[in-house]
Amino acid sequence: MTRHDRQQRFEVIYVAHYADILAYVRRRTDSHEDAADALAETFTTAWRRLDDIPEGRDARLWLFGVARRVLANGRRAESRRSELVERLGHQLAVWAEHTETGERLAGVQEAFARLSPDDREILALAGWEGLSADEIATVLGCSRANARLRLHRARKRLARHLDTAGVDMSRVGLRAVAMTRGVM
Amino acid sequence: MHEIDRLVAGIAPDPGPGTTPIARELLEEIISFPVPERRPRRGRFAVPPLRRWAAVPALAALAALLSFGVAQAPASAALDIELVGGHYVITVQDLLAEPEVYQRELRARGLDITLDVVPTSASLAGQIIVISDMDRLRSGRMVPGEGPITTIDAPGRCERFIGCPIGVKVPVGFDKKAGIILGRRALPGEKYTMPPGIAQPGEPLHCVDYVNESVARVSALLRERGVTPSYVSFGGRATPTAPGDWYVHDGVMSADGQALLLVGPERAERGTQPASPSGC
Repeated sequence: MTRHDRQQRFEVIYVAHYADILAYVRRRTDSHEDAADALAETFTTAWRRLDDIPEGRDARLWLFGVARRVLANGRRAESRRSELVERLGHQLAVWAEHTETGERLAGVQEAFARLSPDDREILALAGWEGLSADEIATVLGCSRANARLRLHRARKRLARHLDTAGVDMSRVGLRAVAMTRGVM
Repeated sequence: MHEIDRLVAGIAPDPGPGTTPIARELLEEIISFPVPERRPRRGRFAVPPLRRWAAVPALAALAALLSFGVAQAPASAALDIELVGGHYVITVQDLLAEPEVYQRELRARGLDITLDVVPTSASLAGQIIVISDMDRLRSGRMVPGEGPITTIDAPGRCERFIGCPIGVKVPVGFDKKAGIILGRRALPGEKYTMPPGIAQPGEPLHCVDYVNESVARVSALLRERGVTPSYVSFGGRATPTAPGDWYVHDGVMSADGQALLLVGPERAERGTQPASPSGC
């Protein structure tokens, strides 16, 4: 692949998935600087490993997988950020100031926060990124059967926390209520 | 969608501002990085392992990547030195290591090579300058550019005017004193030791014929681009102001967002003007 071809392919992937990856990292870190940093590092990794990125829809899953690992690797030294990444972090901070966080579904938020990080991640991949169990398996690098099992268990644990917290289960739905009682 | 998932979706934090102009800038920055050598392809869906201290085997890529902080390596491995067919192939793993650390690792291979990694702009990050014979240079003689130490370019076409070096190759048994200077991305606020011309590709006045333009005009062009100029005239010190009707003779970027203009009351004479920038 010539450099020009590489740049074109990367640009297509970048433009198609930038917003998704931004949302992914923003939703998983409280620090805007870290979100900007992780976003930049995810796409820089993608540029370096362009040949490894699968075609089509799977590119997005690949990028989620990289973003996940970048975040797991933790915060980088502040002095190592570029001016551009700092500006991006600042932009995210300004954006957040103008965004209502609200107390929307506070009970659900609390119950969700009590879950283990693994449970939260698998439920977030399903609920926030809208991924199917099979797609989650790709992001997490586990078998499809394992992803389905983990998703099922995480849903069950959240439902139980909701029940314990006395969240109005009528808003959750009968199936979720049934789950907490092991009827599923 | 499963009902629990729908509930979780209901508490999804805001996704952020989406694709903004900064996203486009970030894209440009990333694709300006040199392309590393092709790695063996992994399984179709495998996500590459990201080690905590990612060791990327590309000198120039590292210089560029510094801005994202990937290029950190344990202090014991500031350099990656591989023996390939009678040559040492050297790439820098940690761009912020103390110079002595590089020296120590090179000396361990019997090489008397000084490696200086110096701060510079994004456009010059990754540039490698090799001086193959320091003693010859110090004695006032020219050192040919083509020496036993060569830079290795990334495979494929290179569109950066400074080339796309990823490392240097030194013959085993090389016994001269040599110097290698590598540009790395400056940290925020850090002065450039390798300053690029303001009209070079990737710099604010790329393709602007600014020589012998008035101080007022060039300053305005720089400020429009978010760059703060300071001024120096022959024999003087840098000052934050200069007469607006003086002429600009030369200009370099001195740090991120800062330029230093060489100015004077008269137009610059022919021959003292900087070479016309490439790629216009």
